[in-house]
Amino acid sequence: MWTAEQHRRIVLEHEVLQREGFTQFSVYQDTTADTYYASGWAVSNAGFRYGLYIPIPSGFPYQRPPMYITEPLPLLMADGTPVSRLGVSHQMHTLEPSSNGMVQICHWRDSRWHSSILLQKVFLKALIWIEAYEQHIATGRPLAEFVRTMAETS
Amino acid sequence: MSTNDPQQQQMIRDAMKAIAERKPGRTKLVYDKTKRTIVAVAEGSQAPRALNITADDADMFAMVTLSSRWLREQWPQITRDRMVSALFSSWDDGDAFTQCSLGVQPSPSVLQGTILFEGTPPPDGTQLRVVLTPTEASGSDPSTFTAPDGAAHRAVAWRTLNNADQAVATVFADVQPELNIRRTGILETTVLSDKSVLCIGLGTGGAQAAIELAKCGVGHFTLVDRDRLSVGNVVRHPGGISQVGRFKVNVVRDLIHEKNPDAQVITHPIELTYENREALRQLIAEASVVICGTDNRPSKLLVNQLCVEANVVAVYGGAFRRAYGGQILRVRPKQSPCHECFVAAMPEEASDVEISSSSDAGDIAYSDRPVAVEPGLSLDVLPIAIMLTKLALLELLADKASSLSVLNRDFDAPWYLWLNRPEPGTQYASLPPLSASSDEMTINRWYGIYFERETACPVCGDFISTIADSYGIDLSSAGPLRLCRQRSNASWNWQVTSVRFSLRFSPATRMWLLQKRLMKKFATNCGPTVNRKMRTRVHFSRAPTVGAQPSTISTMLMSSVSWTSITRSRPRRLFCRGFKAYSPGITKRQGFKADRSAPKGPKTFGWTSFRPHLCRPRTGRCGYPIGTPINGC
Repeated sequence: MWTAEQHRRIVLEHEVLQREGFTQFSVYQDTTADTYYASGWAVSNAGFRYGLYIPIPSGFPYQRPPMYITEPLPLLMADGTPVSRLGVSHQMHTLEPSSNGMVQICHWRDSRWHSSILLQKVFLKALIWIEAYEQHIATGRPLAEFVRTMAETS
Repeated sequence: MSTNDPQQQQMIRDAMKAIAERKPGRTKLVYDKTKRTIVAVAEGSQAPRALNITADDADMFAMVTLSSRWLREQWPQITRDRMVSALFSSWDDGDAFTQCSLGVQPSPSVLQGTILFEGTPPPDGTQLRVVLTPTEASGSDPSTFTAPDGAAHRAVAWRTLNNADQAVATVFADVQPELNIRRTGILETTVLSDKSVLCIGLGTGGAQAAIELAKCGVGHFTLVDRDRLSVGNVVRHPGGISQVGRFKVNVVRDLIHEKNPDAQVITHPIELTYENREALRQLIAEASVVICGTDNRPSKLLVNQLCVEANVVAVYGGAFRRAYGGQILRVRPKQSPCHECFVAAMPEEASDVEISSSSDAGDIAYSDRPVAVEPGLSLDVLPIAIMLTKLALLELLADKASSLSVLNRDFDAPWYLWLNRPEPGTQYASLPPLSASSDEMTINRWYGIYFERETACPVCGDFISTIADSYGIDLSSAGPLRLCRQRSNASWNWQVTSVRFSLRFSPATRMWLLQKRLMKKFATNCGPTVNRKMRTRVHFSRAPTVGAQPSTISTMLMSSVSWTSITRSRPRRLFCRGFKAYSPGITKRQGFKADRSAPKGPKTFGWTSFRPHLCRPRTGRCGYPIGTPINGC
């Protein structure tokens, strides 16, 4: 299922994460299901922990990997409703949630994704999203006000 | 010639009959303006006030068109039975009768016809009969058919109208040779008949390019598109309103056959996704050239990856938003920049796509910020389609000599840009007027643009080694990836069958609820009722499958509760008093190992409490961040 090139790329992703100080994140291999995923705990500036989870799709790196927040679950908005209920939202920079309600962060849209983007950048965007989320919780203002729509960079 | 004047019609029919029956070289027909009729005069005589009508003008009148190839194929039968039947499309109120097998789109009115030898009585019910009469061989006469045995036959058709026989001129069409003749000198007849083109995405541009290539004589097509033709497409797409609802691949297949009946067309109404990439890889491997007319980046990058892998040239075309312009990228694998290089080099240009359907808009829009569907005009897309065709044609002719080879020096850039108008809000808004520009960029010109391949391109370069070098990573010494973490019982897929809730309201709210006898639904996916103790049991008619820790199941259930239907106040706290869940057994879940110790059958879990509210908004007294929902806060 996975090509040698894909395997090399995934190993590279893991090494870059470790080399660039993202040691709280790792790429894991599930040998029984022959799948890969990247996950770890992100700690916000305020010291709160968020679980991040990236199931690596079979078309990676050409196919965009989704980024989910696994903990806390459910992730609530300032008004108490779950973020996942919004679905695809510009206000909160989210995409379709998982079937069990995990919020999917919009790091890159499909129309902007390309295979030169490293998972390190995806995690970096997730960290930015989390900081903006905490600002949203504190102020009640939409998350989009704290995160500019990210211009495309390679 | 069409006229409503019965006298004129009769006159024309008489002329037709005369033309059909006359012997060439002795007389000719003229229309005498003074007598207002058609008369036969001797060849060479002068008729100064007459309009000459010759046999070549016969196509002005009703005519029958019959396929020579079909008749050759049927010749053994017709010589045996003395006749053979055929269906004819009747067009324009009987002005033209075209054999149905010539094309794929018959007329709404179809006649039963018979082709028979002279002297053979036609079968009953024959509406049109074509009588073959042996004659001297004549290669140039379109009404003469040369049989496989070399014998020439002249054909005259007769149709029965108002119990009277009327002669109709007959023309034999030898389709493929006649089509090839029109390309002779430019494409050297059958030079493209063995070429195969894979057309991915059959929107306005892709469909038009496929049809243009069919006109050029390309012999094999593979069409890939999952969409059906909609009414809105018709103003741009070559397919017409009568084709609405059909898969675009089938619409374009028929249009191709209308232009090139001998073309072999294979259709695949499939979606262009990574799940279908193996099928797509096979199609690409069999293609001489790939034309990609899709309008989204993921599909283009997928095609790009597979084409580079298979070393097949691909041409990507697309219009900008509202079709104010367009661009074409031609990728010669390992020689010119690929689409991934293009995206890395010019990200904004690569992202500027036309939003021609609600599906396209949905791909790039958020649900709370819709994107308007603003398709461009067909006339703005056609220049891009024509250029797309031309570049594909040059690639198909790359290894063959042709008159078009001289264009290779003109079209050697990888990227081509076209502007239909100086669109406000774009970098092209201030282009000088077409009439005032000599060497500046203007509208309605093609610009070939050069850029280099990306050495660190993940598709056509060596991305991994380049990145590894830049980070100082030695991949050969990198350790194995960590195996997945095992979770105790997270591998169970719990199907929740019932949940007990308790709602704790403020006393005032509780009284209000009781007074109002508010026994209404408050959940989105279940229908509980609230009793006087504010306790409820929710039975799920369709049990949600939950693959998670039991401790998190209750929180997920809480998240599905809608508070909007309780109109006065939210409860202070919501308790999930417990839930019953059913584990169907051992199931594998992506990322987790199956746990053989998972219990089977129903299980009741105990109390779990959950705060629906954030923790004292804007106070943060509990020490957790303001508003952060944490169990056990």
